[in-house]
Amino acid sequence: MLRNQMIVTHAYHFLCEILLVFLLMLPIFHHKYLMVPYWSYLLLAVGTCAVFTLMHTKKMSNMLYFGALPVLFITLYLLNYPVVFTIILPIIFVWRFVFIKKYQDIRKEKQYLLITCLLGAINIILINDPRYLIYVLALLLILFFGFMVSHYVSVHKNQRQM
Amino acid sequence: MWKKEFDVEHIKSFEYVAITAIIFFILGLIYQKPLAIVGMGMFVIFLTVYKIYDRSVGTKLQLKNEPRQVKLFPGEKASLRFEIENNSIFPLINGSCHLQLGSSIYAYTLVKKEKQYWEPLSIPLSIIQSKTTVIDIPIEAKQRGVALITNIRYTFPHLLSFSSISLKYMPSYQTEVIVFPKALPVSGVEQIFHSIPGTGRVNLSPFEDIQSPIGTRTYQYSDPFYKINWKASAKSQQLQTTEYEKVIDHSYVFVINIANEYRTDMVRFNKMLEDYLSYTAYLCEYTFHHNSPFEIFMNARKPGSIPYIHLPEGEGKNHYARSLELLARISKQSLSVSFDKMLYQIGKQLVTPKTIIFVGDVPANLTQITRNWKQKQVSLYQIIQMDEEQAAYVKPLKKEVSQYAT
Repeated sequence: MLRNQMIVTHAYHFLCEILLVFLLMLPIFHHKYLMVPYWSYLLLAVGTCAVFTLMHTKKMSNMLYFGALPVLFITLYLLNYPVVFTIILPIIFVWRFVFIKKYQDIRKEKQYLLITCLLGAINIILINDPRYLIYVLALLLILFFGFMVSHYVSVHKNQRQM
Repeated sequence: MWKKEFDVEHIKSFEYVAITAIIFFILGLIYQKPLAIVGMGMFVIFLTVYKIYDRSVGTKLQLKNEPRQVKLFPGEKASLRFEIENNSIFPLINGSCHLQLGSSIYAYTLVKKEKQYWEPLSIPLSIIQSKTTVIDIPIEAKQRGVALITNIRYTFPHLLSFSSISLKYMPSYQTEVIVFPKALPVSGVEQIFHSIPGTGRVNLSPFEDIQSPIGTRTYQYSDPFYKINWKASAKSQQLQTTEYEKVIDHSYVFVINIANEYRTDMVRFNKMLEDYLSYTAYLCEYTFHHNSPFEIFMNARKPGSIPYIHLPEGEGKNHYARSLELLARISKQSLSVSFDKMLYQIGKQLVTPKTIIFVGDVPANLTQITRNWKQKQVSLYQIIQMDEEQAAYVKPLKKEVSQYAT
């Protein structure tokens, strides 16, 4: 796998995973905390993915990713996330990215699709909020477009222009 | 033209989404949630796009396949060009083209290790929509034979199922690479003395074609009486002799015995086959350069009324090229027909004196046949290989031919 393709693959795998984490936590947010941070989480996920991917392109060491933990703690705290999630989410974010980037050729799209479908079906019973479908849709789009882009970037530039 | 083959897990993605769509629909009906119907609609759109992509991807892929021959000598390099046109609206990106080259050639830029020569080649390839993609594979001729390009397959990722699709090219690819045999020198060929009347025009010969007068000259005492040209003598008031075209039969017949010395063992093939063909290639080259006609008989089995290989007599560049191609096409595992039966058939065709060169073993039990040929003024020679070397020389066939002479 080419380096460009690998970076894109890692990025969309990471983004899918943290959106799946959100779908998993959604019933807890909805029923226990009576608030669901749809937009702030989406922005946080995209931002974290962008920063981590940038660090990945610069081939930074794993310790620097853990260095992002306090920043994430503070951000989540400022966004009024429950304390439990303020602690858990940054750890999950860093752990998953470091874990994913270990693999040269990671192909977990089918598992993600299955989990998305399962969580989508479960949440439709538990939650009566149309906004959560945005997450399901976003997950599907990220999966398919991520997969396409990862292959597209491996095509030689001359061929792309043809 | 292309057979589409899907990955084992190809249908999984479709199934996941289809089942989810059904679940959404059922839950929407049970719980009276319009949201579920919206979700179901989203999945149905995806499934529709999936099916359209599935059916149309790779269907308008065309590989230019015109009959073509690439002719090479061992060690020569050339390039094999493949032109693939994708007339579909979908690009085929980040795929790989797999193909198998015949053993006579190898792609020296793609195959680095000796052990990989037999493995199919894998070339990264993306085929953009509505464009023609060209692949050039540099090849080098390795050994005699005819190399075909087989097992052409293009594998690329299915963009909606996260699996791969394989397109297998079903027609046989009509380009063939013919590697001619390497000519191994045979010393002594130039010393073969032709003493047979024929049709070949030469400067010095004891034979003349009395149908082809070329002029007159002053009579000499040694000239026969019938050669005196009386008209010319009367005109010049001096005896004149008619001069005729000097002719000789300088054609050759190459008879190759590819049979193994262990005739009862049908499994073993002749280890010397390549050397025999290389000597024959040299003889063909020699006769071509000397503008001599030649024909070839070889006891390699072939289908048809004549069970052995026969290249009729001819001369010139085209004939030489045909002879090399014939030698290149002989299979390494070629079955042989009985050598004595072939000689018997050749003998029936021998109506004029000829110069015959045997390549390969001449079994002892064929003495009677060869003796009969000699009575027809046929000059017989044999290629003798020097011990444990590829060098060989030609010498007249003895009366008592020895078995396994080479």
